[in-house]
Amino acid sequence: MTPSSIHPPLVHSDTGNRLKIDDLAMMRGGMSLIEALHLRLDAGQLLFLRGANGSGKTTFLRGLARLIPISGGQFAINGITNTADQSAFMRQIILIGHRNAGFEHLNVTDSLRLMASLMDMEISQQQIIAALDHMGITALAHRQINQLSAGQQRRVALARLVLAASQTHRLWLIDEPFNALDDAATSQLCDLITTFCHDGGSAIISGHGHMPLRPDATLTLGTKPQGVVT
Amino acid sequence: MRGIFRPCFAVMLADIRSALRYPGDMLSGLSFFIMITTLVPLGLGSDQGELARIAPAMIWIAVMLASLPQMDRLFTRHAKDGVLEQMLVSPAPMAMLMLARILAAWVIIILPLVLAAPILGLMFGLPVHMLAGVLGFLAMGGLCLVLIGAMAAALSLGSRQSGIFTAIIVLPLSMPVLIFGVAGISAIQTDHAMAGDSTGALIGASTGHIMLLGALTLVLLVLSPPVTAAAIRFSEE
Repeated sequence: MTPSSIHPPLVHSDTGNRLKIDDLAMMRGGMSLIEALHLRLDAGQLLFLRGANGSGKTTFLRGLARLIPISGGQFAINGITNTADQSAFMRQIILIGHRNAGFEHLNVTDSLRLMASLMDMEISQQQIIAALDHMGITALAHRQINQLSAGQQRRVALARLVLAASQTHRLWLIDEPFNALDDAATSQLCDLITTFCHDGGSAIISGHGHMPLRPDATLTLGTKPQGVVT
Repeated sequence: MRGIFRPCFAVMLADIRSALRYPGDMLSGLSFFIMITTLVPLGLGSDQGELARIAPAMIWIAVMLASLPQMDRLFTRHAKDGVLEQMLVSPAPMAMLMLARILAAWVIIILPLVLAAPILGLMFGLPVHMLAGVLGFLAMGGLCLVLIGAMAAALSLGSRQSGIFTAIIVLPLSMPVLIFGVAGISAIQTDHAMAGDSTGALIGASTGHIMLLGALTLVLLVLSPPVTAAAIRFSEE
């Protein structure tokens, strides 16, 4: 059984792939979620990762971020393989997980600054203000993270992407970004991702059902048969 | 190298800053420490010789009891809100980030106790000129306790009875700290009594104990951050 499929086939340029997955297999709790997956994602391409709850979307994204060991195959981001040096590899990705990673007892500005330095980026106060403005949360700059609503905390988490937008070589792995977002924030995020891909960045976004962006391809987990795209 | 230290420094600063903004945890540890060390002399009566004799053990046990509940909570909050996950996907080595958190925890958990210790030492009838030596032992032994506590807290992440689990791991590992710590402070007492010295410098037998405690600290400094990092990586899988 090979429970994943990709539509439509991606068109590739001759330049090196942003993400290159060969024969990838992943297991979770004794169940095989991904088998024999081949995938190429180029600069500027957006992949929508689709599947029902429990189909392995989060597992796949966390596997690509090397948080979960893969059970077979290999992958490389910008030619840096999954077995490469930790710090070299982590410089090729930005992960926005389910959890917002807001530093509870800090204010929004300080929390964002910490996250930026964890992402190995040097940012100025102006950049933080611009990022908050982009996500429509300028007014929250000095509020404590734990005083924010779920949607506001999600916006703070996504503001990290605005800070990272200039580093187009880093593959964005975003787990269900549209959850808890209102219409305004959804369209702000869509703009951000569209611009990022237009500038040559690549992203993988997970979700179920409707996706407000037009992805270059959709990888559906938990279905068969599997499409191999190279 | 600069690229490694900047995130570590940022993590340390964030931990200390958030602890200062919500000092509840810090103050509860401190008040617990003060409670133990004031209740014991009150309960034992006013025999100064007796109090001075049990003072080293009492101070160390109070430090351990006051710091343990805080160590247990060292990572739980950030495991839940995803901060640890972001640390794992950071280009900075996880072990170094954990060392930064451990040093921050020393400042947050141990330093207030060390600073409160002289006042309590006086209540136990420890002479003033001995306090510098006592502070040195507490500061270094406290670092050992945080290094052990961080490992235990990381290993017990995700377990529902993490408090019990942490205590079980911490207890045997912190015994050497207690033994060298108590023996060291007792040795300062006898050294000073024999030499009649009032400079407060470490002399005689106490230097041996502080060196042993120092060796233990160095071993734990090398051992604890990678173990803590590995345990957190495992719990995040």
